[in-house]
Amino acid sequence: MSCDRIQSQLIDWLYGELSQPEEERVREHVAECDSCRGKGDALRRSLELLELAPRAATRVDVGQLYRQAAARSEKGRRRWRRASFAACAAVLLVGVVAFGRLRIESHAGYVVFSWGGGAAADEEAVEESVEEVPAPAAVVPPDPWPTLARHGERLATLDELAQLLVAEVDSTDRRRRLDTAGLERKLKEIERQVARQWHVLDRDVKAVYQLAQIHSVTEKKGDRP
Amino acid sequence: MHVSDHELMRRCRDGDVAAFEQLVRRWEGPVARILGRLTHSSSEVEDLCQEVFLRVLNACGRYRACGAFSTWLYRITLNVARSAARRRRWQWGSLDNHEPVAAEAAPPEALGRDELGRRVREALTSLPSKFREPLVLRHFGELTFAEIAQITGQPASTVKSRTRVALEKLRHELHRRGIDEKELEP
Repeated sequence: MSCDRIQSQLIDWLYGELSQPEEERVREHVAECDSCRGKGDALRRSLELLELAPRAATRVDVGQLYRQAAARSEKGRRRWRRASFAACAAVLLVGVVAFGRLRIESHAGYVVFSWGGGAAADEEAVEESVEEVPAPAAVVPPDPWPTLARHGERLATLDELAQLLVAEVDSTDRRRRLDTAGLERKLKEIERQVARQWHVLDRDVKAVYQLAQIHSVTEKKGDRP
Repeated sequence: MHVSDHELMRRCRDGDVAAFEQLVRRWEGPVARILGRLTHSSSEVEDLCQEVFLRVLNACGRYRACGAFSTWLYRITLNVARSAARRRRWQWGSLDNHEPVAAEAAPPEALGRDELGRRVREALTSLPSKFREPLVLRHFGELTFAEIAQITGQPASTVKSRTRVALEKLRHELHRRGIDEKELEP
């Protein structure tokens, strides 16, 4: 077998991941070949040095884990609620601007909010209608119902969307509440377990103390002539 | 009686706190051993260990008992270590990438055990993560190359060759830090 192939298998050999026949082949080759033996020894020494790296001893606090999980769950719930309210507000604002009569205009560096259009806009509209219709007798007021019906449909769609969003927020909120309640239950269970263990320990200590007292009394009686 | 990891995870999902604690006690040592070699600072091992088990707790509802539990746990461990490394790079920029001061070569026996351990740790953490990770998982996590391939998403042959290169680079780094490993007694 070639040295290249053996050297590619050295790492498997050192970690014992070769099959029995392959392991024997590598061992036989390494015993005879100085180059492969040198490389194998170098790898083995590096592995032995790795063992000298200091060990980190740690103990995970399980109670703290449950507290952190509850805190994260609550934080996620708050974030989701804020985002939902912001989305609802944005949808309502867009609805009001698009379908309502709120106007936002800029005049001489000021932003002007007006409801139902300004007087200037009304005058312009009247002038335009006068220009378009030459004879006063032929002026026919436009039928407002189709436009209103269209706006009404759009508002109804928006209303449905907002309701769906609110329902989604509610269900997520409910789920998060259930998660939090579950974690709280687990915390209480931990507390109960600790209290139980403390009670058992306390009882054992008292029993040992009583035994020690009995033992000392017996010894004193035995010492008497 | 020995309860399997899958069984303990199932109980955790049902809200059994004692089962989760048993699982934590069983695996906190191996996880800390790996994190200790993957991270630069030993002081952050405890926090990262806590983070690993917090992720386990949050994910126990989604856990599926397919494959070894250790593979799943070590994948979380690796992700936590990588996130910590990214945070550190973000906070410290290029300050971490300083070149080690060349020390005079000395046989390992001439150095104290603590000092030797410190230099080995430094040499190990100075390796690029793509080489360090398979070596640490193989050596300290005691996973097979096939399992490491599953965790890292690399072919097993790549994992193997990277482990070999990691050992060669480690030897080079140790030499730069003044450890003449040829003098080490077998």
